[in-house]
Amino acid sequence: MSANADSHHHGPVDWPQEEHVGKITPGKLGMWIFLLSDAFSFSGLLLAYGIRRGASDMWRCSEELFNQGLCPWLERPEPELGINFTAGLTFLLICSSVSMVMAYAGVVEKDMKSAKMWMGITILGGFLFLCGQMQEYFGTFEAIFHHEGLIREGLIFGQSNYATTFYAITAFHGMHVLTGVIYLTVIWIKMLKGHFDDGNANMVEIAGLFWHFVDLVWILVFTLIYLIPL
Amino acid sequence: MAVNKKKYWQIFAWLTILTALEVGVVYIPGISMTALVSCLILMAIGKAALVAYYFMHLNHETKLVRNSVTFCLAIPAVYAIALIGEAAWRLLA
Repeated sequence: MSANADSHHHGPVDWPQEEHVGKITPGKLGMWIFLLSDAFSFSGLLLAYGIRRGASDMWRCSEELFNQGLCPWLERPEPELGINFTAGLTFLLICSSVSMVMAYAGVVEKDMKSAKMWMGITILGGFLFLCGQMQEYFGTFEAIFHHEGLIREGLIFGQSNYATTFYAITAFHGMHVLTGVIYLTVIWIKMLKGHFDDGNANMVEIAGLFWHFVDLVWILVFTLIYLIPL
Repeated sequence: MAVNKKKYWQIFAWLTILTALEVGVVYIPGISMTALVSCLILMAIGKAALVAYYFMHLNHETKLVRNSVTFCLAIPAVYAIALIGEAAWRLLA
């Protein structure tokens, strides 16, 4: 099939082999360029976090430090971040990554029933991650998790480097998850309308690239923000 | 592009195991900070590489595309290493 097919063509695209970049489509190459620029944004935030944290004598104002009067600008000590809860969110994103590649595989193999199911599961995974972040920040599902949320526990944006870097980085990532959920929902609707029934998985793969990038960044955020001890 | 669903599930298993190890290593009593941070960062880089190589299909791209992505992502990593080195030098000086 020719690569010069017009924009209304819906058949499988066999992009011509190019000496340097192989059969990568312009859309996929464009997404990779965007993802690299986005990676630099995250790198800037994570490097700034590392510099602030490395240069500070006191990162989190714990109860002990607060009682010693070492953080008089705070009304109460700052809470620890919940590792186990966030590990659950990390696992959720890993699950949604594998469901994304299974959706892609379904389209390539023209097994659209499987593709639609896995894409739905991927979107659900992203949505649940956002719910988890709402719980972590605001305690939205306090009745289930018995945790009032970091904001009500005293972790307030702007009150300390610890709080500000935490919210800046995790909320920036959360915005990516929200974007990903919307993006994947649009692709899912196209899938339900039969747009990919011919086995052309290019758009699904490009959306998948964005979704896996969101997972990849979270792997680094989880380690650097949550796991490295204070 | 051919898909290898078995490989996708193998990568999923590895990512799950590495995540469990990451959380587990944090709770090891008496582990030194250097060992802990080194383990955590190596496991995170390993997980990120698995996602990029297999789920983002870098394994199916040409050497030039793979190297371009790796080179770009290495720039902030090199900068981070330089900053850590500079901080360590200041602490020792």
